[in-house]
Amino acid sequence: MKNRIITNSIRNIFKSFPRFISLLVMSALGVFTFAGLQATAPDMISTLDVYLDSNNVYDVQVISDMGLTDDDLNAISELESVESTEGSKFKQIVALTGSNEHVISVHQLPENMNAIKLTSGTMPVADNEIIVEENLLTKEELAIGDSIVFEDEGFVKKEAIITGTVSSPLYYNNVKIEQNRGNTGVGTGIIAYYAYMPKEAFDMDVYTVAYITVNGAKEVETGSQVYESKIAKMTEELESIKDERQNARRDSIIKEANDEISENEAKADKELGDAKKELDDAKSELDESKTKLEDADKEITSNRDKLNSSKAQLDNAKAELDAGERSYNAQNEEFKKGEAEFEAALKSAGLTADGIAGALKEADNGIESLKKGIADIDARINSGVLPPEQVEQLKAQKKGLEAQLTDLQGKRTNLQKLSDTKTQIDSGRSELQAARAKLDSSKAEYEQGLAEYNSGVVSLESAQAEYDDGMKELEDGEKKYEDGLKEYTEKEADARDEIQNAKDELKDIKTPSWYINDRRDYLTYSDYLDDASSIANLSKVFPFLFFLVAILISLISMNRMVEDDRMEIGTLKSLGFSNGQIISKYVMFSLLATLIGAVGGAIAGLIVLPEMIFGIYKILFDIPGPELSPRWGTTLIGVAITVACVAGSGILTAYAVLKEKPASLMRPKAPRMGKRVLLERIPLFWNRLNFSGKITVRNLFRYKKRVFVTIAGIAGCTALILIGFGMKDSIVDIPSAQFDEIYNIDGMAFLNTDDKDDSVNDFILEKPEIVKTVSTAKVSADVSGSDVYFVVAENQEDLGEIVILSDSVTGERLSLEPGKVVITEKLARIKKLSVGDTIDVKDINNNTYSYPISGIAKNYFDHYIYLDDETFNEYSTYEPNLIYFTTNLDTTEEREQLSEELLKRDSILSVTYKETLIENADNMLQSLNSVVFILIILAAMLAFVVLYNLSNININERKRELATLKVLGFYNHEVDSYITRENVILTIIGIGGGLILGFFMTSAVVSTIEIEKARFMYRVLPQSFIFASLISVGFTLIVNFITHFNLKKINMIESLKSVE
Amino acid sequence: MAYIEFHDICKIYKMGEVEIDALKDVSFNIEKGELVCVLGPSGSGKTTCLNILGGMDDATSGKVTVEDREITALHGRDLIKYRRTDIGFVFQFYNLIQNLTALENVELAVQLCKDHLEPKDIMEKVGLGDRMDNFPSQLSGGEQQRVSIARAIAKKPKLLLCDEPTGALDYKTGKQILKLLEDTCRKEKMTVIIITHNTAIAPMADKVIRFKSGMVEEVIINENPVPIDDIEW
Repeated sequence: MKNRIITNSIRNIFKSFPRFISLLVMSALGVFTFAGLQATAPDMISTLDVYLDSNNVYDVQVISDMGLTDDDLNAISELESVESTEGSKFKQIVALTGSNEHVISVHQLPENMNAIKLTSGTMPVADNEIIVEENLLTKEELAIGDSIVFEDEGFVKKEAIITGTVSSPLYYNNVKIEQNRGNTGVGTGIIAYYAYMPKEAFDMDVYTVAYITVNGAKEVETGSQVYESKIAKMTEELESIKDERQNARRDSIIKEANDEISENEAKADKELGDAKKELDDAKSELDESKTKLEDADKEITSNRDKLNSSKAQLDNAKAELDAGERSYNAQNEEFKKGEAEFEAALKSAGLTADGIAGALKEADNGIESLKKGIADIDARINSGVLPPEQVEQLKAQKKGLEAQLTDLQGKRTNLQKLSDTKTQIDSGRSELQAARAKLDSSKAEYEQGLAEYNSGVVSLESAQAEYDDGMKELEDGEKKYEDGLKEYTEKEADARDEIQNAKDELKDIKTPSWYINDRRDYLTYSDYLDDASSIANLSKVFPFLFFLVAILISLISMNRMVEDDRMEIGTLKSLGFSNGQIISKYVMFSLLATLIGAVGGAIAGLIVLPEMIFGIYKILFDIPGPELSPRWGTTLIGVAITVACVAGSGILTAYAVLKEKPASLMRPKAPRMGKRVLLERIPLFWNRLNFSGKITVRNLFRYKKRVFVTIAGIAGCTALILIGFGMKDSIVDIPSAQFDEIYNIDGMAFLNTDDKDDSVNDFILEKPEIVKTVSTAKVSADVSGSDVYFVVAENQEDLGEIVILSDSVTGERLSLEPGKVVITEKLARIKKLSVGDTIDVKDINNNTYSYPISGIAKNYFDHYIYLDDETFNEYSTYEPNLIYFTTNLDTTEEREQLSEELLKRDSILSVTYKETLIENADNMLQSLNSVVFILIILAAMLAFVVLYNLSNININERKRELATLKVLGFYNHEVDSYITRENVILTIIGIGGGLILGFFMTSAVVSTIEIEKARFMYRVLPQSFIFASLISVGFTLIVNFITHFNLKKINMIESLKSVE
Repeated sequence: MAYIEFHDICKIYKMGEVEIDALKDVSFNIEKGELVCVLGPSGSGKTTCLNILGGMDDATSGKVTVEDREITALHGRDLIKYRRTDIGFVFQFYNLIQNLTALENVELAVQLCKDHLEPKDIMEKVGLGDRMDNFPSQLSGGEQQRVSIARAIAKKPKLLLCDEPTGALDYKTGKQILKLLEDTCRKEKMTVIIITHNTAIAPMADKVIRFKSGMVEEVIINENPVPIDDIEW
């Protein structure tokens, strides 16, 4: 025989299916929110933990500003807490990537720790190969094979070829929105990308960082208390060897430096000696050439004298020659005259000069022959032989011959005379010829002398020129030598100075500083933990409100169920069933409903909420995951709370009922008594109510418990929704408020302080689009673990026009006092500082500076310390690195164009507009905002279930009454309004209460989710009240609509039944 | 034509696959101003019959006319209007609105129609002039039933339908209630139909309709009804 109690119980579930479902849904929602939200933060943390541990990411890192040696590493690895340690190098460097300059953090390829993942391409092997984060390729439009040019020192090569892309567990902030890998002291101040190169690529002999994993840290969850205590121990141990190692490093640096200095000194001495010798050589060479030149000068002078005397001789010779010529010419004239006379005589003699001798000879011959003829004649005459006629004839012939002889003898005398003249002429001629020859030879001699002289002059002149050149050369050489000497002197002084400086500096060498950082010092890590803790905080408040409402409603539901079953319980009791058996029905019902709901809700919650919320946080964090793990503890607590409350309430009500006697149970329970309500005593109010109004009012007071629960339920849900909206309101406008209320700027230009440019402000101000500029310095610093920015006022009035400093409480304008600072509200709050206190600020080198606080300023985002330039100079020399400006531009295109123009100036590193800043901050807050949105939806769902459930209970409880009204002829809408009027009033009261409750709870809830660097606004906007109300009203309307059909379904026959 | 006519009314309830004939070819007439007793054991169909007449249930087939108006043809709002104006209903368990005083319960009904009796007068008439401001829980069963009757007749209905009006009352109180119904019928000339399983009171009626197993067993016309005061049981 089957157990009919069980049959009844099972049938009961189907009979009361809506009740079953609503219990189920309520438990599901409660546990969903509870388990889900509770699991989210641990899941987020374990996701991070798995991510970091699986990549063997360091727990603690030691960075030394002067590098770490192998000795340092050995010393570290000997520490008790150290699991392993790895020395590594990294350098932040300005590099040209494509067409842009960015700061890239270049790391050495890891050995064991901080395992990187090659996402494409190949690992770099050579010292000019590099792997970069993928964003660098996409954002800079580069490809594998392209080069990156380093603009700073630090690497062996000046350029590196991209061989692949890499993903590093050291950087997991999401950079989709803003390419920012952290702050740096280099270039723009912002690390844009990370990259890896082989060890050999680094031009440094020491490690930059020692990565350390801590014993047993992997086994515990990162960020947990156990973990933190292990880290604290590690840090302590490191601190204990820090001084020793720092000093050791200092000593080795000093030794190294000393060696270097000695080496440099020797080198300098040698170099200077060489230079000196060279100079001396040059000097002696110069002297030598000077002597030579002087000799040459002398020779030239003597040559010139010689030339001058030969010139005089030549001149004399010339005069003589001229006189000789003249006398020759005169003689020649005379001779010519004599010759002409001779010629004439000759001519008259009819002779030629050469014929004279012949004629003379002929004359001589003629005279001879005549003389012979005469002689012959005489002989003959004298011989007397001869007749005297013949002698007379011979006498006559002799006479004739004698005449002939006389004539011939005359002629011969003339001839002789001519011949003498001729001889005379001939001798005159030869004399003349000799004179001529002599003249000619002296002329030739003269001419040769002249030529010789002339050539002597030429060679003298060339010698002179040569001398002049030589002289000039000498002068140049001397000048050069002087210069060289001067240079040498200077250089020598410099070199000596330098060496002296180096020696002096050596005295000033600071002790190296060890920076012992753990994971928390990576901003993204602590942001992530902060966010997880926001969620954890939220999960401490929100689900309990949920539970409260859900349990309240379930309780009344179960209560109602038991009440409905009075008769049955009585019957069963009278039949003799034990209390336990009777109760088992309700236990089973509620257990089934809540268990199914709770387990289903838990499973869904454990998966859906962490997935959703983690998904949202992926906007900020680039971490694979989430790693979901069943959170049995919290889940069981959630399920247990639900089951205990719902099933417990059923059991308790059932027990209360069971206490009654079966007989009284079988009798219908006296309907709840109607009675007058207090309001009726106020005729002014009561008389104004119409009939149905009166009924409604009385009904409301009649079912006090249900009314209370309904109001509480609606109030709770409305409060939840309002809290959701309130959180949204407190978050969503922070970025724009920051710029509307505090930073009255349109944009800002970051300056390169290495590139001194005093006129950059004027340059910006000259642009027609720029309205106003204010130069300032924004410098990041550390206030006990919080990142803060100094904002330095160069001119207080100028800054005041653009950065509105107003008291966080009174709103009065604050002014900067010399030597004092104004800090922002949130900073004051988290560091528990107030006006009159002093704030301690640490710089990059861990030096602490204290400033008295003169004011606390309103601010929403980031922490700022405002101070004037003189006060700042204590901390660091004031140098403007930022120019705030306002523009008259409206469109993005115009702004882009302006920034392009501004960026042409070398000293302007980057230009950022308000819109971008707001967008970035918005994106950061977007995650939280989305989480809030999920909560609003959950709250709204709960609100719906609550209202629906309550309305159902209301109808069930009053079925008979409603049936009666129907029988009496109430129209459907009249029946509806009979019920819904109550709903509406309850809703209104509930909403009112919920809005008040929500308003006061918002600040409490908001403070739990507030992130460190923002001051949430702690406000609920009017429209949020409206939205929250509208959602509740909307659900009331939907529920009323559904109620309408439920009411329609009520059978009038019900009215005829006996009271149950 | 009779004031109320039932023509071949059938009512079949479908309970899943099982069909139950609650009424089978029920036909009868009731004249205006008659006091009718409907008798029959539990489940004989008398209540179903009354529900159909009262516009609270519909017939599977057949026709019911009241004053020539076919009420089986009425639907929705018209049916509600019929209930609202033409029908007064007295329940076995009074069905008073607990939250309203006796007078207010009457007023609740009165607000539904323009042509109605003054609630206070009617309360006087049912003998509760001094208990008007009491809540139902402060009244005895008989008093509650009087309120219920007052609520029903205040609307000046054409028909007063009473389903076991004395079922939950003791003899004396029950008799008082029946007296009130009788008076209402005789003095106000209202058609009153009383369902009861108490055959003893049948003589007070002008007409007695007996039901058995969903069918009209007999209709007895009583020429000389006996006033209830004279009936003892």
